[in-house]
Amino acid sequence: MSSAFVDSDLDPLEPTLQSILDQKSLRWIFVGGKGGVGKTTTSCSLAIQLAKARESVLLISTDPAHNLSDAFNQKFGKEARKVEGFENLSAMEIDPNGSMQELIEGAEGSQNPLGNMMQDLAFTIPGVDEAMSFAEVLKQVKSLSYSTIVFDTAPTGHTLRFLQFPAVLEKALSKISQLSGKFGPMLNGILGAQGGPGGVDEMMQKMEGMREVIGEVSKQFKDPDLTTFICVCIPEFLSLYETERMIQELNNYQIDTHSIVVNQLLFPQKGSTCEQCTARRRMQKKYLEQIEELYEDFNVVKCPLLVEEVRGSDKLRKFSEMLVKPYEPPAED
Amino acid sequence: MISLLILVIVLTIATHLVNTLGAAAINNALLVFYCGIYTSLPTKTSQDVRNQQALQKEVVMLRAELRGTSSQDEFAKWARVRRSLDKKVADLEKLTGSVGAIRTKFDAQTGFVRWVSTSGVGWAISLWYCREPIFWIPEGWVPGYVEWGLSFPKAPIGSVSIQVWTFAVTQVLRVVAPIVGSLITSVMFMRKPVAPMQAGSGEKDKEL
Repeated sequence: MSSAFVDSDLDPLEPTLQSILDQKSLRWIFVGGKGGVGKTTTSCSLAIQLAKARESVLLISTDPAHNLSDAFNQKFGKEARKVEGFENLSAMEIDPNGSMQELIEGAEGSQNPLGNMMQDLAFTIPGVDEAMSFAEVLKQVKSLSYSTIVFDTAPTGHTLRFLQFPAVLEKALSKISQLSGKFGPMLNGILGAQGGPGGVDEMMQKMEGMREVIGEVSKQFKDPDLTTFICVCIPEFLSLYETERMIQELNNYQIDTHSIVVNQLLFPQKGSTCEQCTARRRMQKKYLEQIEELYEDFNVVKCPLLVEEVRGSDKLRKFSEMLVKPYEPPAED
Repeated sequence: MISLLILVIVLTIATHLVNTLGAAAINNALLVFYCGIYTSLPTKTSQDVRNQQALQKEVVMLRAELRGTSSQDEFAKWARVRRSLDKKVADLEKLTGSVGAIRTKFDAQTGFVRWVSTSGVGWAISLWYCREPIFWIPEGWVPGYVEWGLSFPKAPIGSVSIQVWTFAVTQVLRVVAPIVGSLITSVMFMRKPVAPMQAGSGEKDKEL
């Protein structure tokens, strides 16, 4: 019996994000892509659809440009706030630099010059500020009980670099604690024992805490049942190149990714005489074919370019339907 | 039995020659021999060396293919070639590292063997004949403490010990060898026609 030959394997995967909505075990969903490709629109739409299929959804943005506030026409802040018009959708905007400043100021409570020096030393570890701000976010988030969390990643795309940090941080932390152990008592003796190396120990503990959180969370991120990454792009060469690079990087970090959203697809009306539109459509078609050939084991969602900005809950709701029901382009020439 | 005096001279000259001329050449020759034997044997070393060579060829081929594919027009094919190239380059780097380590170990071992068979033999002979006088110094030539120094450590006083003699030969060789070397190279060059040299020297005369 040729039951081994399954036809459905040869069909392309469905061009929707339905599989993500159906996967109930997913806890962390990242939406990323470089260069104004429609990340925020996609993450908001995805959060709206998820809210229909889950108990509670949290949407987080670490972009200092307050894009979530713009998208929903509502002010969000460091504390999770319910989005107007939705029962189980909340949003949070965290400014990573802001939280870093607070951390530094908080730790400066002990006026130990040695402690400050050690703090400065600690902050020279590459990327520690990103890691700490992210760890801060995660600590807050873990204590809250949301069934799914959607991350609207920063436009620079550095968000997931912090996953390398547990190893780097461990080495650096052990060096620093060695140093503070050796020089702390000596310098304190010279400076007249100003309250002992209290500042340093506090700092150490905080960093240890961060490291543990990051280590634990990065394990979760590598589990495909718990985490997935959605790449947003537009059908143009540079965006495609960046997407491919990002997917390879995610594979190196062992983070699951199996969905791509292609945005801003142009569909000129029948009988259109706009040269630019037809030329652009031709170019987009070329890249769209390449995308479909290269990412045949991905869910590739195609979203059109609309005539108005997608802002406000209603427009976002309408747009979010396109993530689950493939868009039917009008008949072409 | 050869006179100890001559033996020491011969040995020192041989060591010097081997160390200056032969070190790298002998290493390379032996390595070819080693790899030759090893690549035909089904050991891990030979496997690694063969894999590394095959991988290098593949990487070169893939790079050529990547250059020939337009990333704008055939992005899918370009990306697939790029992916396999990246993977092969990573594997190649790992393999080169391990093969390089083997080579370093081999160099160290060969160097050691070479040293033992040249300087080592010299030291062994020094120790074995440490009490033998190489030759006797006529009485009264040098003061007493100098005689003691010349026979240091164990040869009878009034004679020259093998260690002192070895030292003397080495020092003379160190001075003589560059002179001999340059003489030989100039003789080798003299055999070739010297027309260009004459033109050069003619110009120099004009300047003076």
